Amino acid sequence: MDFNINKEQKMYKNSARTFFKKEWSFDLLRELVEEGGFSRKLWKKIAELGWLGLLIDEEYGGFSASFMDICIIMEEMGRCLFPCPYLATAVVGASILSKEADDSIKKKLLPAIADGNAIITYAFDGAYNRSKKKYRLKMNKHGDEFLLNGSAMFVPYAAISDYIICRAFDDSGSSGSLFLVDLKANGLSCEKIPSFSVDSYYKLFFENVRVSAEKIIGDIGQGSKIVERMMPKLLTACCVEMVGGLDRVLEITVQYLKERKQFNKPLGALQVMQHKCADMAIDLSASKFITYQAAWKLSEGIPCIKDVAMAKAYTGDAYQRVTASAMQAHGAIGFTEEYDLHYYYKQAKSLQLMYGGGSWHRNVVAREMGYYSD
Amino acid sequence: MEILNYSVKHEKFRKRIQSFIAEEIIPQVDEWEINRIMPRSMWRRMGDKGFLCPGISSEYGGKDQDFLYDIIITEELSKADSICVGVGPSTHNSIIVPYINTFASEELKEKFLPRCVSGEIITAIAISEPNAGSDVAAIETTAVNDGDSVIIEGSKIFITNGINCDLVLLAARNPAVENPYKALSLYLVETGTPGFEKGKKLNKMGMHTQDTAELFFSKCRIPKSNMVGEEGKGFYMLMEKLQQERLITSVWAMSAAEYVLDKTLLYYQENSEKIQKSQAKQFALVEMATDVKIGRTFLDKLIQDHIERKKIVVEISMSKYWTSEMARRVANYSLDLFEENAFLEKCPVVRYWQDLRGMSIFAGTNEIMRKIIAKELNL
Repeated sequence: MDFNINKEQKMYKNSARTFFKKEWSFDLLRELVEEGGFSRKLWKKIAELGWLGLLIDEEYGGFSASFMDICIIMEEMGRCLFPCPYLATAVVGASILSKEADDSIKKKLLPAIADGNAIITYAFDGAYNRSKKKYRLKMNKHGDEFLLNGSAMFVPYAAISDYIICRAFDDSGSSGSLFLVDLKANGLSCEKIPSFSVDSYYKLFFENVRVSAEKIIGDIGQGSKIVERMMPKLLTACCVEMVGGLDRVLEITVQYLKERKQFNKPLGALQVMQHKCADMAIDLSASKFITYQAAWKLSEGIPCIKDVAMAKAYTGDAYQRVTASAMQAHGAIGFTEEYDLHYYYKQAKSLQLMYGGGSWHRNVVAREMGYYSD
Repeated sequence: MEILNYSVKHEKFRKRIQSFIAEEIIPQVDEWEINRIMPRSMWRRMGDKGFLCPGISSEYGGKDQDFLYDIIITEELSKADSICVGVGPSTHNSIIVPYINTFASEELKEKFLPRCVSGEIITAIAISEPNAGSDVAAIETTAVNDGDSVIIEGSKIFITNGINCDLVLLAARNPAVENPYKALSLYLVETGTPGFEKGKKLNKMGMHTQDTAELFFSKCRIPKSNMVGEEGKGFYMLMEKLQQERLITSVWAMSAAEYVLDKTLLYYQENSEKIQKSQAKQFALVEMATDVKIGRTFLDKLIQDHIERKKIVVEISMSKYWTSEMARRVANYSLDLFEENAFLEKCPVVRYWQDLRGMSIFAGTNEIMRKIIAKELNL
């Protein structure tokens, strides 16, 4: 197994790094976080670079690139905490629509995604409320159409997205169906969820939202199966984003410890601080390997549910550990908002918990090893 | 066997402050967090209610109450939906004012203590500088004697109560004295003294209600009689009072851990439909509860030892680093248990999780605590 990126991917990585060095700064992040968390100008620029069409077939205006290729971009985004719906649109939206949607939807949306003209978001969590005996988002047949009622939580970038792929449930006991819903449809409203992530999340409300049967992705009742097929990509992309952030945090910390002096010597001269950095480097290395093992298998089409779960469980914990350690190494300055480190600390915690935390994914690993919970 | 001798009076006082917090503080905390300061009116209110400087003698307008009152105030305010509701006032009550009470002249005590008790005076202690954090001996702010005055020159950073303060207890060095451990003296500087400027409020990633600021001194002339204690004894005074400071810091951390655990247990028990209960989560909660129980037992023992005036440098240092790390651990696991609901900022634990990040850094970093212990253990 060779996890090294090839020559082309190296060029790609360098150009992504150069792009962010030129176009992105934490001052911009501070502005964006105040204003709603998204820069359409930068989104257009990354569209021009071709990043949005990586997982889209050439036939539909994309680049037919591999999953490893998109990981290069995600890692650079994670490195600089660039907030945008890249995961939702270029990974999740592009994957689901490419593989599962019918041709008319593909012809309409995939080129628009690649051009930066269509932003896709998603809401898969149908969450069943046992006491109220109902799902969060319900579907009811209404003539030739369906009516969607209920709500969806933690929808990324809903306020600036054009379409949502959402899972809704009926009373048949099936595993739900996926709908492609235009976010301009009547009956939809959203509310921002205050969170400590750099990404923006929303609660979306559906009130008798009408969707035609043609907008079902795949077949009725196949929603969960489609989501299951896509989830490994979402989870691994999230891990790659964390690896990028981890890398940058270690870099910042090593630099700081070389410069900050107390008691007439740099803090980096103290063995305890050196060991701290060594622990962080080990965590980074382990996270990279476990994540890219999953990414490579996904790229090659090799089944990897256990690898993905291990990557998410491990990398999530590692990113949180490393950012906490970095904060401690920085002393009081790390606690201020003027210094950028706190953004990494909070982003690490939110990514650790999103899409299932450590406990959830450990359950998956145990299941793959043949264990079942009581 | 109870370690601390809380009387019926103590318990009544605790109930009184709990009611006060529920009625007057909790409804306002969200706003204070947004504004990043506790209004001065609340300090006066706490003064009116007898929640400031409980240990000051009635001679100076205080209530002659024992140290357990300091502890009760610190514990309860730290559980008021935000740790820093506790941090500001208990820094004033139990860390700064004791310096004035112990070391200042009668004249200074009569001048300032009554208003420290009433909340008309809010105090700050200014030790840290941009180049002198852990290395207190590296302080650069100077205090030059000039007849009946002292001229202060320098700057301080990360000062608790920095924006609200009326009176600053300042550590500055005599540039003519070479030995840094003998060069430091402590002075009281009033807000409004020409040459003393408050800098901007420092925006922190947590502890928003606590107004932390930079302070600047430029040709700031104060009367020599504003010196607290003997000239050149600043370092020793700081060392003497650090035991109580680190004890109070441990109380913040312990109270935060208890608050977080209570909220998490409640959430876990009330939300069986929302969250996936599991043995792993059960065990995590058990470990948190065990940590909190052990921490409380250790801390109460140290409070009693401190009341009995025992010198407990090693144990206090252990407590400061252990309770702050334990509280962070508990808050971190709690967020994991809240699952996706954790990263909603309305989640009661999120604020504590952000606030606790600072606890292992201020009042002496946890690395410094370990160094102190290592030295005392002759390692």
